Amino acid sequence: MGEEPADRGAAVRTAPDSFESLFLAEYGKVVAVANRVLADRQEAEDVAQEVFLDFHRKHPADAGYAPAWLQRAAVHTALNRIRSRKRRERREVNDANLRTDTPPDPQDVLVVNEERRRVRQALSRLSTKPASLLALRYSGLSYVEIGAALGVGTNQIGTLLRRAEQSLLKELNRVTPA
Amino acid sequence: MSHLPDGTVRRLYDEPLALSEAERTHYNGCAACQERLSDIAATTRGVAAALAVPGVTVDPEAALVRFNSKLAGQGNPSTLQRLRSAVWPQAQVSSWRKPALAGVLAVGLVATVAATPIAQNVRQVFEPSQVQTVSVGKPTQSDMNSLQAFARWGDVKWVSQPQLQQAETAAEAAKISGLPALKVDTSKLPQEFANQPVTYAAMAGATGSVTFNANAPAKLRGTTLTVQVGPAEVAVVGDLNKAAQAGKTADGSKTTPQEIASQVGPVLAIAEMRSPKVTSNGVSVSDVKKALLASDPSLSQPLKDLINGFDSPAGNLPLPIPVDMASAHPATVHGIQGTAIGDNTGLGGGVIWIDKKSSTVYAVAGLLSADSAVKTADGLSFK
Repeated sequence: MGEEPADRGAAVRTAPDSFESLFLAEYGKVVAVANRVLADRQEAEDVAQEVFLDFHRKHPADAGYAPAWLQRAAVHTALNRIRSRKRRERREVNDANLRTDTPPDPQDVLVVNEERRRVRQALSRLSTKPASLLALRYSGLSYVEIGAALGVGTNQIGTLLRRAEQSLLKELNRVTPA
Repeated sequence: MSHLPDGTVRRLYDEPLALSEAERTHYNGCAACQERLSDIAATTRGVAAALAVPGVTVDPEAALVRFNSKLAGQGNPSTLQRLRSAVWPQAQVSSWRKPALAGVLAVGLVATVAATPIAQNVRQVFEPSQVQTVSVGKPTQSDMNSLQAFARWGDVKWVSQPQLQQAETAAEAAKISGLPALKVDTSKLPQEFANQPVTYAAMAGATGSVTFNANAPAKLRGTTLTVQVGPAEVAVVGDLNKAAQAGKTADGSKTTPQEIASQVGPVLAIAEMRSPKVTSNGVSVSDVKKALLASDPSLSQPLKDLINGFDSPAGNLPLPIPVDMASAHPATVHGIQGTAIGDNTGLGGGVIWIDKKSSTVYAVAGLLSADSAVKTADGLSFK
């Protein structure tokens, strides 16, 4: 904890050195995982900040489980965000439909990121564990790191990953209900 | 040995060295397992393509600064919250504030209007060079609905978000913002501010964009407007903890503004910010204004005036003044025409002006009269 000079008028908490080291070492990886889920760098950085704040509040910086905890929290927080994003988008579409009888211009529907959005929606429809597994693996984590983050034996990762990949492809091929 | 399980073959694809010698030997001699690896590889490539995202480059050092700034705000009101409480005590914050914010959003949309026909080349379309007041009353429900509808016209994305950071000194604030340091000599301020602590904060420039979406009128859709905000610096003279505490405990229905001001103590904020700039890749100013005005015929006259006042004349930034709470009059600061604003209690006041030469917006505001704010601003050095 740092001390604030008296004339600043407020006690300011600052991260101690061990936490700073952890932050500097893990921040990029945490953003990468969140970005894999969200496909939005800015939102991924927001998630990383949220996750580090949460960790800072609850855990010692030198905890051995810190990297695994951060990765798991990043993927869960990011998944929660795409799930609420999906709800928000659905609400907005409903609102728009209430406001006008005119169907949307097809040109407007074909947005540049449509495919990416479709994949994120499919990912959000998977259960948390397979979705997390995919996000972590495709962010470059090793089987050992994934096992530590998700509390799963390393020997099980291959099987679970295979199932998760098949589930995702199935979701992607599924016709999205109107 | 029986065939390798799917999970093992899957791992073979990612981490071939993790297999045991027996598993490797089996795989090398088993056509069926090799074929399964081909299938798994195809699936994996498909998933990898689906989950592909553009690579991100992050700046952990800068992120840590932002983190520490957030951390500093935890448990205590943030600098912004304390500043807000200090400059505008809670009892005076009526339902007007939310409409005001919504108004700013709508104004932001208007501010993004472009002066060119649809074209792909990005050009600067708006940079305020003068402030002109527009009197507004309490927004009507219809105005509120319209403002909320306007807000849905655009998808906002921040390339870099505005992040106000506390700074130990004026020099540190200047380093964050890149602007000249706001050195405040409290001995040269009005007597009530002498010997008061000074808190500095700054933000680097931020860039965001608004892309008109399917909710916007057809003519605007697809146009992207990019807004550059800041950099900025602020120096607050006064005890922010005391101010925040007063703001927290104030009960607008029971505590008089005078009582709150007395609890807050003397507070003065001095701010400088590069004029915001807006660029666009399409549509014209009049198109956007027309679209806003036509979207709801029941808009109140003050809101219509606010919309019409944008960039007319060129560079005009309309400043909404709630008639039931404040009044405004022209004032000259450092030889530049600005606007002085005083609240109706006489307790709070400020002045805002724009230096066209340096494209900088300045503001001085606090618990002092509008005239005193002007005099104080004129006595400050901004070099």
